[in-house]
Amino acid sequence: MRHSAVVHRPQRAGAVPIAYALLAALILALSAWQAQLSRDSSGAHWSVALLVVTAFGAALILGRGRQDQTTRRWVARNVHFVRIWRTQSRSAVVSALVWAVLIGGVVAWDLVSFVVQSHALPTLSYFIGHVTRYAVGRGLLFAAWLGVGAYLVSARRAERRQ
Amino acid sequence: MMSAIVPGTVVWIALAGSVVVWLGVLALSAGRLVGPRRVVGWFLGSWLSRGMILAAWGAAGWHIFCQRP
Repeated sequence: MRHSAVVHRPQRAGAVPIAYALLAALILALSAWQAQLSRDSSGAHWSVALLVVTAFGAALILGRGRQDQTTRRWVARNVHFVRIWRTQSRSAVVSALVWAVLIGGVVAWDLVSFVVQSHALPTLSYFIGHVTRYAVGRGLLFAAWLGVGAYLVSARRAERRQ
Repeated sequence: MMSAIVPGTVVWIALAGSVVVWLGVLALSAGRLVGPRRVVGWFLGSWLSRGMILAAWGAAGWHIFCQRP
């Protein structure tokens, strides 16, 4: 089996921890600033919009030639898994089913509650609003949101291909 | 502001309880079942799925920090 397409570059030992420390400091500073803002302020609107655009830009730059699989291959593998589910291990099938029900249940129930717009059916963001109405809660949740975004942008990258 | 537990809240409590139970089962399964790390990894496996999960992340951020109190 050939591995010539994959480049194994030596890690620069000092650069990675420094980059993570800078990223953590940036997240903390942004969160402390964001904690003082209200949902209606232009600062909140511009900062969130800019961060979302930056996340997509960073994902494109970091992922160029380093995405784990092509979309076609990813879809084909999942279709194949569903087609031959009887031959898969019981633990894999049970896991897939339970995750699908839980994730689908949360998304579906939130959508139903959002569409109905009734006090009897609060959305998930209604409960989150109890946290974000306080500066500390808003700041902490913003830090968590940024951390999740940074992970989604940078995690699961393959070695760069030539 | 709601003070009593409404039907929708009961469903959310049931969903949260199910998630907690499932995470407990995963912790006891010693790696035999698929954990949250592998699920997130599955979402990040392709450009399409990564883009979709990032779009959901962005929409959630906008809704929580720009529309919610």
